[in-house]
Amino acid sequence: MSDYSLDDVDRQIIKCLAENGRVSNREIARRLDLTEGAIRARLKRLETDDIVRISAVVNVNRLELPVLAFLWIDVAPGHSVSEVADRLAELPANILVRTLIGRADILAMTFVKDGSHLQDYLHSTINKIPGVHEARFSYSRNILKHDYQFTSII
Amino acid sequence: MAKSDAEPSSLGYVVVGSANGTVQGVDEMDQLIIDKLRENGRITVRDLAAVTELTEATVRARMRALERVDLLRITATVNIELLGEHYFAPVGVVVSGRPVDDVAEDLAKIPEVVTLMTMIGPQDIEMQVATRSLEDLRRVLTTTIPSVPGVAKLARSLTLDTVKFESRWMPFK
Repeated sequence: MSDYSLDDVDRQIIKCLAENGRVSNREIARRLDLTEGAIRARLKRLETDDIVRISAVVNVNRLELPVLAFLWIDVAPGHSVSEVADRLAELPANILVRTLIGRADILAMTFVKDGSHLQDYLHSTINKIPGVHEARFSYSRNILKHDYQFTSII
Repeated sequence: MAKSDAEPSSLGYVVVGSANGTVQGVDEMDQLIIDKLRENGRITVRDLAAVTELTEATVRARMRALERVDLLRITATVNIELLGEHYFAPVGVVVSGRPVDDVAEDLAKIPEVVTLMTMIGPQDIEMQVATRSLEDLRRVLTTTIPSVPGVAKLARSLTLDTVKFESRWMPFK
């Protein structure tokens, strides 16, 4: 992992695009008092270097599987946490998988319809993964803040 | 004009989707437009028109409709993995003596709290704390968060590695 530093102009451009990914280079140039060519060149560099991605996101509040479930997974002794995490990441239903220190070995997140849907998923899929020792869960009731400007693009 | 007045039938137009990537309640053309915009949020209307074999005006109108019903948003995300040292801490909060939503509102104002949700489970609130240094993380976890009234107990952890993050779905109002 190399350090890649953003300067103020980069940050301003990203801020404009986080608000509205379709804003024109001309409009960004006008707001920042720079040339359109300068904006185009910087944006091209940010995208080529995979620092910034501009894409459509769909509102989770409109999903038919509306409940975000947290799965806190402990790995059985003798098994690799990374390997279990990789297996969990292969499941399309898991939108996030992180290895942790502290509350569990792995945190995974998935969308479910309701409690029985989650129970089915735990019994028929998660608990069958070799090395999964125990999975605890909780449900999101309401998402109050989600700053999606800064995230991991994987 | 208020959105609800302008869109009396919006709920019939787009309501549901599923986590496998398809969005139900939209037609094939909308789905195609959504897929293309997921690949590249700055694809030109002309290119979208070519792919969908619709006119540019129709593509524009469909994009406006998807955004107006708050189904779709086109946004920039930054790859913090490439921006040097950073820490992600999933932190759970048990609340006491104050309404959970009030505590949640106060915690959401902390800039290092990047994601916050109220929960059903052993924790009342779950949040992600992101900082650029361990020193900042220490400050937020030991001073900033505990001094919010109503925070009774914290469950702290630290991310070693983000193995997967699917960012096609985001909550927005």
